[in-house]
Amino acid sequence: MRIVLPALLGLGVVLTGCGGSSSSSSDNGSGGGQPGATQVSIPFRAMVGNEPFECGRTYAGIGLNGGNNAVGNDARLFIHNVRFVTNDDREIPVTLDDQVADHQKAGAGEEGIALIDLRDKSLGCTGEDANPDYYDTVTGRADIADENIRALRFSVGVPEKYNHIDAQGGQPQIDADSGEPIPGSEATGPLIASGMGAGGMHWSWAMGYVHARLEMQVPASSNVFYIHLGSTACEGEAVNGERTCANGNRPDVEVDGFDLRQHVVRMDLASLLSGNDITVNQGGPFGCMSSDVDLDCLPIFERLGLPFPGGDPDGDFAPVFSAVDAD
Amino acid sequence: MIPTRLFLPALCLLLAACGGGSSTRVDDQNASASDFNWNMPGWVPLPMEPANNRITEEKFQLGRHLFYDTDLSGNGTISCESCHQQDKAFTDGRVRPVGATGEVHPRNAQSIANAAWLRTLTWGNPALTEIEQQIVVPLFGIDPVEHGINEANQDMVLARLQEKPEYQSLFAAAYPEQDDPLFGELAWQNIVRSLSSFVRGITSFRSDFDRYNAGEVGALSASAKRGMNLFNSERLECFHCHEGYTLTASVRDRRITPTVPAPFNNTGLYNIDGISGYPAPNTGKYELSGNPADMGRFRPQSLRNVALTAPYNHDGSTATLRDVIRNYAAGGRNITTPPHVGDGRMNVNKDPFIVSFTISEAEIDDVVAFLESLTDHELIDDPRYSNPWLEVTVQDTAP
Repeated sequence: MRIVLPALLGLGVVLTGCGGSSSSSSDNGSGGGQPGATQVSIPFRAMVGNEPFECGRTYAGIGLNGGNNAVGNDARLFIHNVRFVTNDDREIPVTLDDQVADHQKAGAGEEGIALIDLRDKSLGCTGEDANPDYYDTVTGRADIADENIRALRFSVGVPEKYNHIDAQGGQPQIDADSGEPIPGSEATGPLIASGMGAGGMHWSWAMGYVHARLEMQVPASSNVFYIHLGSTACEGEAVNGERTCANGNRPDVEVDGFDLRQHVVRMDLASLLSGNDITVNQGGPFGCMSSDVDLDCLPIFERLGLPFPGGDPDGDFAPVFSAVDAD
Repeated sequence: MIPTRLFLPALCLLLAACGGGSSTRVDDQNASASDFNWNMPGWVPLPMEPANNRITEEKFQLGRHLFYDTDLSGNGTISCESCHQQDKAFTDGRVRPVGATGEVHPRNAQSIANAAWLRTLTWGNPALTEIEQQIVVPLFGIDPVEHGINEANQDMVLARLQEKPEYQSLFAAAYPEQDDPLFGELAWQNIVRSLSSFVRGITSFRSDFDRYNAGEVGALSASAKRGMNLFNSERLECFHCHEGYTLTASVRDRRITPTVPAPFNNTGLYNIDGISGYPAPNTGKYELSGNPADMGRFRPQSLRNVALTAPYNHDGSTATLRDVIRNYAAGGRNITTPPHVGDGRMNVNKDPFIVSFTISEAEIDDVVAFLESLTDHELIDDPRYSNPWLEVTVQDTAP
């Protein structure tokens, strides 16, 4: 049974140290947990090749076999364990702010979770011409003022510790031995916002979150080509906090050369789909919902660096995540 | 944080599961106390309830209205009742049900009576242990689409419910502690919890078999009694998986916290390509666990009301109870014509209790008579579980 109290206490110290700051850059923390930490803002952009991802917009040449037209339909992902990498390969964690309650869960490592929603505000993704949940910039603090940074790293998805909690909120996990609630196991921030009603980012059938939900609609077949990442091959009682999954399916991403002062993190759906014929469904639901027997997942998992039967997670593909100039 | 307990201390040692009739109980620290009308004999142990959704009559009645309301679907075409019809013990009589958008569900609709006692709530998913978790799957799921409620239409769906005068008072009564339970931010949570309360409150323990167990020896025919003995024999072995007062080994109640994993069994229905495969996506527990030993393992069904719930098995692929018994008598199902050719009798995951046995047609008649004695004839027209919107119509047209 996991005991998370020490981690929560640590989180409290961090919150005391840097909560509430609204300055975009400061070399000194206001006392407490992270003296010298720098406020950082890490912007994400969904792209389709070199074009910005827009809901309802048609993109040509997507995928294999000469490419096909595809229409932007969804672009959301959880990330956690955000950190910078120095030139001498040390990792410096980013402690996420909790300033946007529905989008960030404060903390570092697996405690710091953000829901990035890159469905733009045009008509298409949400059925309305505005998306109030749009959220593209992760904010936090990191001790990088005197460091030479060569890369950004983060993990996509909800960490296993939180992946099987009650997404509808209100019900903590219960320790099977003691009968007591497991501290910290109630959904908060983005973990509850995505579970209430048809939140779209919870995989209720598998009792876990949707780590990433990336979708392109295919006009040729009027299907949606789904890419829903979620953990699979799971065992154990979720209500007792005992559920674990053999296939976490949480890509660990390195954005090489990332420079806070000039770059955004580009997530390229064209690269992600470059190994699929998006007009063809090779099994299971249309596209890839993470099943390891759905062959549509093979090229997608390869491009995300995830293991897949018969796939090459170390293959040389155009990166899905990369650093590009802000504008 | 307020300490809450989902699992109550297991102090009750009364294990007369099928004994019936006894009114003597040991002290179970109020585990058997409930103000709610469970509509069942006193010998039945109360089911588990989540600490954050204690059942009340008001939630039950709100859930009953929602259960029968086609406005609780994306395009207003189906309700929970569409696949869970009272006259069929809350199944739909089809091989496989159809969702709001026409998508065919891969699995057979199952009865929801006595769902409160089940350890897991669907055919092959060990993860779904709480009704509150399960309800969101048909409401919001996309693979397959059932009610078809999604992010784009959920506000519209909610608005349709908010327009109905009945719901103003039903929501207020069910959630008196909330300022605005129908229009507030907890509206969907309230819907899910009320539906769960209605489903949890549908109980069925009024069969001839129950009357027989209560001492009414004439409640079972001679044929049904012979069938009961066959059912419980070491020749047929049925009782190992369909045991106790719910007629399934997948059972929990307030007396005991099971420590063994929830049961899932392979009954030798398929053996595609001779490698023990089951046709996707109906691979049973394997779909979630990824463990090859779980291929084709499904939850043992409660046999209460089974005579009303044809067709049978997880994919509706067995038409009648006689066919089910014949499959078991053969020790599995040998399919010789496409598309799922294979000898299920040789499936490596097959449960060791699925052994072939010899049975005469007369004996099959007896086993079927016993299974028919498990029907709760009061359930299927019990006004407590019926469509409340029809009542309103009748009242409105009365002089």
